[in-house]
Amino acid sequence: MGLSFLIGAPNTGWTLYAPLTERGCGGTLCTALGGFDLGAIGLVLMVTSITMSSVNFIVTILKMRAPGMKLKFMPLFSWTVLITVFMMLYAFPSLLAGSLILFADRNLGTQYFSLPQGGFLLWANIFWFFGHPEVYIVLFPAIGLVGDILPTFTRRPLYGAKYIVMSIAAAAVISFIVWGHHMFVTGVNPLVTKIFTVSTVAVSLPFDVMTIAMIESFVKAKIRLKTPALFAIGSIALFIIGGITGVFLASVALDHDLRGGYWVVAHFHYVMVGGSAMALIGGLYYWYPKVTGRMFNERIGKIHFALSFIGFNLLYFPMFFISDMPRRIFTYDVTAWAPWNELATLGAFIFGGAQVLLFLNLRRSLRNGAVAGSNPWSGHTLEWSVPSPPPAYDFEQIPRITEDGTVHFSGPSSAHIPNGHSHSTMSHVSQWPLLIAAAAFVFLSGAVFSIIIALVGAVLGVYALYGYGRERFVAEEEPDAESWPFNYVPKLKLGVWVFLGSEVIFFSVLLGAYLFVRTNVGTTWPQVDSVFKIDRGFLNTIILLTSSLTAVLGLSFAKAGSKNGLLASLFTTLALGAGFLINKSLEWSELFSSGFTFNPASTNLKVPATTYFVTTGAHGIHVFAGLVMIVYLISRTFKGHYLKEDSATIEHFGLYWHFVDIVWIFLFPLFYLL
Amino acid sequence: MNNRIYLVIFAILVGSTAGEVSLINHQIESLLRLSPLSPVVVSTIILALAGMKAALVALFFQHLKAEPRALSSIVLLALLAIVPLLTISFLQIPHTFH
Repeated sequence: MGLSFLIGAPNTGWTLYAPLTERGCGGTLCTALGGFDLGAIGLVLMVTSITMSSVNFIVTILKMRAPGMKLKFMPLFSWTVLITVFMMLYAFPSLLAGSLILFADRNLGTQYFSLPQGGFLLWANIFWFFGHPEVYIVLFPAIGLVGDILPTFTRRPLYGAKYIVMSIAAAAVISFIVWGHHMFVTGVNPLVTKIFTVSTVAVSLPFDVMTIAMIESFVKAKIRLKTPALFAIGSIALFIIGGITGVFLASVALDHDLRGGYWVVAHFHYVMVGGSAMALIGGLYYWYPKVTGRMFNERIGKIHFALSFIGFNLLYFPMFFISDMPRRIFTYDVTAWAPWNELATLGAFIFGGAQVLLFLNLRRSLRNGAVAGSNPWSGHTLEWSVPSPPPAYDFEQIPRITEDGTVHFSGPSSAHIPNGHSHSTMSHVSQWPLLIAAAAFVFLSGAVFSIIIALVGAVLGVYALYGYGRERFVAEEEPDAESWPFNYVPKLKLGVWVFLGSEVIFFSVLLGAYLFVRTNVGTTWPQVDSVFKIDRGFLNTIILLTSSLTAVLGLSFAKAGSKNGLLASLFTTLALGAGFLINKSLEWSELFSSGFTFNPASTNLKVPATTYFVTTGAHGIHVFAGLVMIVYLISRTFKGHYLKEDSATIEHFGLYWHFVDIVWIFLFPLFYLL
Repeated sequence: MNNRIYLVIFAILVGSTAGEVSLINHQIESLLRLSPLSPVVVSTIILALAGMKAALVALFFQHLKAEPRALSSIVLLALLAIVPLLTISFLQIPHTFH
């Protein structure tokens, strides 16, 4: 994404609205600059990284909690992170699919976003399905921070903590059905706008519960107005303004006038900066002593808060009074807007300048701050029980939580070894993940610059993946770790399933795009068996189904300790997978040579060609990735791995392979039979 | 699960795939001497068969049948999240394009 700025940055704003992003849309804004392509690739890399991190967070929180740390005892921040990463897991694949389609449109000649049957509306659906949950993805951790800071500084438990968690979960679910309120003025069906009006109003209700519960936490509390508490309280106040002003936008009538003006700018920033960033700054102050072992200067912290709060409100509140001023303009000729804009400018300088105090304070305190001790705020969560800064192994003894929520420490932590290091940090020091990331970057950059660069990236990637696969590291598991409701599910298997959850969204969005475009094409879609030959599709279906059988039989052989049986199964699965790809490439070749391309000249065929090649291409890449895995598994099986108790890797591979099979089970009828 | 179950499931999967192809070629109606089914009915049956096949692969080959429900819920949650996109998007179409 950063590189894209050097070769022609994407200039359509963060929403990347189609068809402005198309290479040949015919308008003045659409561009052939490579920045768009690098930007799309940057998004692909980012979503890949986010998905991997989400899997990591989810498995860690669900499988590796301290003994007795039931979900009901988890701090609100941990809860919000868990819910947030689930949202990331399910929202970001939509952006991934959209970015890949955008890249294909610009570089391979597919026509998704330039077709009248797809175009703007298709992109808007794909983008905002990700885009609105994204707002809450940014917000929820901040709410969790406030929920952790408040009990410490009000010296009483968070009021209605259970209901706050339930509200956050409800808001997370509803956030996936509100994306259409970003499309009220696109001319979509009135029924759709009604649905989204109701869902948008509905999503505000859980936030009401959260804010009321947090305000209630101050009743009869012995409040200590330290800097983290001030930022937390300020965040709640600003979020209330941001939330209430957002409810107006749920109305189609009001949204029609307000959406393009400064009302939205003010509302959005009251939520994202006021509600979220202020809380995050509070979190920075709250955990600074824990991270560094030093206290910051409290007086400067309070001045920082006062200036930030005043500056923020001066900056954004005036915008509510100029709701008729269009956003995204840098100059204007309406004199009535001038005083409010001048006030906002003054506020911007105060708010921005105040942040200098934050950095100066934290920088200076790093060396000169008073020693913090392990628990300077008298907090009650587990991090305050370890020294500041915490040792690499965190806990010298295992924290155990009893039924009434009290914590006892007993027995040495398996992560702790006496010389001050830890098993976990020693075993996780690895250069391979960095190399894998670099290889992915080089490989994908090659798609824009040169095939040779892509090949270098591919070779580097295979080498890095192989090296990472051969590396042994052991993440010690506490035998009595709390892991309900996944007590009997190994963490690697859970990780694979969580990853497959994101894959479900990815392929569903691709299929959704296909269905969306096809429904709009109407009767011009090719007749059954005229372009996509049933025999070929049927053969490929049987091939993949058979490969699923051999994969699952391979697991049986592995569990039984039969090396030859496992090898035979893996080789057969490899041959069948390769056969699938050969058959598919022959079919592609025939289709191309018969004129079935996404060339604009082939008016009736470019729509089915676009959907067919992109969807089956994405599936084919997954099959190819599976074949690479099988080659690796075969090489290790020859050395005697994966037998009896060591068979879990074969099972994990099978989960992926069967998923790829399931995707084809739907592609076959959708393209060949219907 | 033993290998016999896997073979039975495989047979069902292949059989239902053949059934899908027969349906689209109207071979089943001729065999049963029925009048041809409407395209909507045929499409619905074919998609239902695809759904059944996917469920069989997930339940038996991926062993979800023997796993805790919480594990299945991770995938079901994903499906739950995506269903509104797939359905509501279509509701937009009649007004916009026709």
